[in-house]
Amino acid sequence: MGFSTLIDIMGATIIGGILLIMVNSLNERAVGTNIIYGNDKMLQLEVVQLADLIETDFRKIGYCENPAKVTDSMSVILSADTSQIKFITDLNRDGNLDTLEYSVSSTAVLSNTVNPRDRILYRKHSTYPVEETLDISSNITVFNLRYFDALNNELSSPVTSPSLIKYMEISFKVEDSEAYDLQYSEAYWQQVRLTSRNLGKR
Amino acid sequence: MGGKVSLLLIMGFSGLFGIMGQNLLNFSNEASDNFYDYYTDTRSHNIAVSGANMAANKLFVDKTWMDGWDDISIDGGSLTVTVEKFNINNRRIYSIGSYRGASDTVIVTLQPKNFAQYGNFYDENGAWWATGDTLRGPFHTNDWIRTYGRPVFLGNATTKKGVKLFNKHAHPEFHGSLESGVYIPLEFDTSIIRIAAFDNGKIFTDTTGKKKTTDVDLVLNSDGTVKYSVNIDNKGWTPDVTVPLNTLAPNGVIYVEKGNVFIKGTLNGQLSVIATGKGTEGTIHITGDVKYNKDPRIDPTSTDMLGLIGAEKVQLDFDPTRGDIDIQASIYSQEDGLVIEKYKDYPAAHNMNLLGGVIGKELRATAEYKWDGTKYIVTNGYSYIRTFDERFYDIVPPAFPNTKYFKIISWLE
Repeated sequence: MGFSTLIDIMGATIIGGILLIMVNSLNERAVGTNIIYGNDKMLQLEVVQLADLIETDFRKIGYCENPAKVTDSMSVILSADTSQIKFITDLNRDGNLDTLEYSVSSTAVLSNTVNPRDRILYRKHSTYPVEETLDISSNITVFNLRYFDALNNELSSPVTSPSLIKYMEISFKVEDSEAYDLQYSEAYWQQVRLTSRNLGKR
Repeated sequence: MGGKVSLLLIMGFSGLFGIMGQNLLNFSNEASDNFYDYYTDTRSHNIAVSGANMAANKLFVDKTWMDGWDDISIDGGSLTVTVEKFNINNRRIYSIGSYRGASDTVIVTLQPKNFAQYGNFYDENGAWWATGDTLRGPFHTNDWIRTYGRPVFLGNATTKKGVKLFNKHAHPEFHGSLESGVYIPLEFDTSIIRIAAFDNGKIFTDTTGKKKTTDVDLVLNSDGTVKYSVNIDNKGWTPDVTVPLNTLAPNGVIYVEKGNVFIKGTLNGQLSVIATGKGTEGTIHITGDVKYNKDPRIDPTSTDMLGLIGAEKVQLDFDPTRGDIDIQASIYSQEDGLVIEKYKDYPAAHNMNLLGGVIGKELRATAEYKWDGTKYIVTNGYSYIRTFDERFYDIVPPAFPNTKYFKIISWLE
């Protein structure tokens, strides 16, 4: 006990302090990584679910269980813009024509979130007399549709003659509504060439 | 003492790292699983789509194919396709693709494609479709679709050779789908119509058995009757006979063997008229307006429909005093097109209001044009004003020729 003991105690305190700082820093990084990884995973799940839904819906553009109800004189795509599309389909396969519309809100609708870019993606299914609007994602920051005619020429949006549309490019991005350390997790999906076989089947 | 503390520290940190690592690994695994599920779903979907395409192709090649495939290996997965008949002539393909536990089904419905279901069908297409041309109903050619300016194709367009653009300013508008590499032979079996006519229709033939040319003059009346006379071997016309159409040809099929038909009037009912023979026979001559008693554009309940089938050609006979003409029928011309006889000799330009379709070997000129300094204008002959009769998608004139192929009317993924 004496000077060497004092040195021991001071040394232990310094080493212990360093260790504590390391543990604290490690904990902070672990929490951050956990949050980022967790958010990434949630966003990726959301991307896949959205992609599944969009692909299934868009492949049914112009489909009807009773094909005679879709005539040449009707355009199966009713309106088409960069972030909005409305088309004829038969979602529940009951032989009656429904309309389905995808659109996004403005960013002002989600102004209470930290992310300034996030918006709501709506899916509106109209089967007379019931109309159902679902908010299918509130993490959308990009929902972009491009349209092409039969000769692969891009059509300018909004498309004035939707019956010219034969192919579509769909892309969307989802982001966290809250940032961690000023970083937003994000996930992106794109279908470069999607078409419905029922756009021109006759 | 120091050794124990170090050991405890190492064990503690190892534990902490282990738990954190496990968590991160879980996140990573779940994200991978998520995309793996999406990948397997997409893969099984693609296999099902491929199966549906393969089966549809089989049916296009062989209309009688019903075998399907049972659990065949494809692209790392498996495929089962079944084909069933329904509504007598229709087919339905069920294609089930499986890939590592995921499976997806595609259902395709097909029905025989009838020539009357085309607004325009040309085996050869030398004409350039140009600005101002609006083609309604399905279009097909076993040639190029030649385009100049901005012609509009409102129905589904198919072509064997593709689309030829006259220059960089050519922007054809295809409002239906466009498919290249599609060959549909312009051929049909006249015996099928003969059997139908023999069964419950009317056959006009040389009753002397000498197989001389038999010409028939038909005037359709709006009260459902038809006035006809016959001229065999050009020896003179028989006296007119007027009978109800459903008495003359209860199933609506009139077959003229080795001869020509001269037709005009207003049809009340459903009728197909075929003229068979070659050279100077096998021609349907349109001598005046051929209209429906009830125009389906005005009265959608109209069941009046007419098919004109020329084994040689269908011709609008020359009449310089006629003026505009209405033709409401689906017209099939095996060796030619819709011919406007001596179109250059008409003293003025007139309209041909056509409700139905033109199916022929080639597109024929109908009018003479002149450049007025800014555009071409019609000076003599007839300008087409065509409208496709959309009823033909579902119902066609009696015994109107079928193509060799099915058409896809519904595709469910």
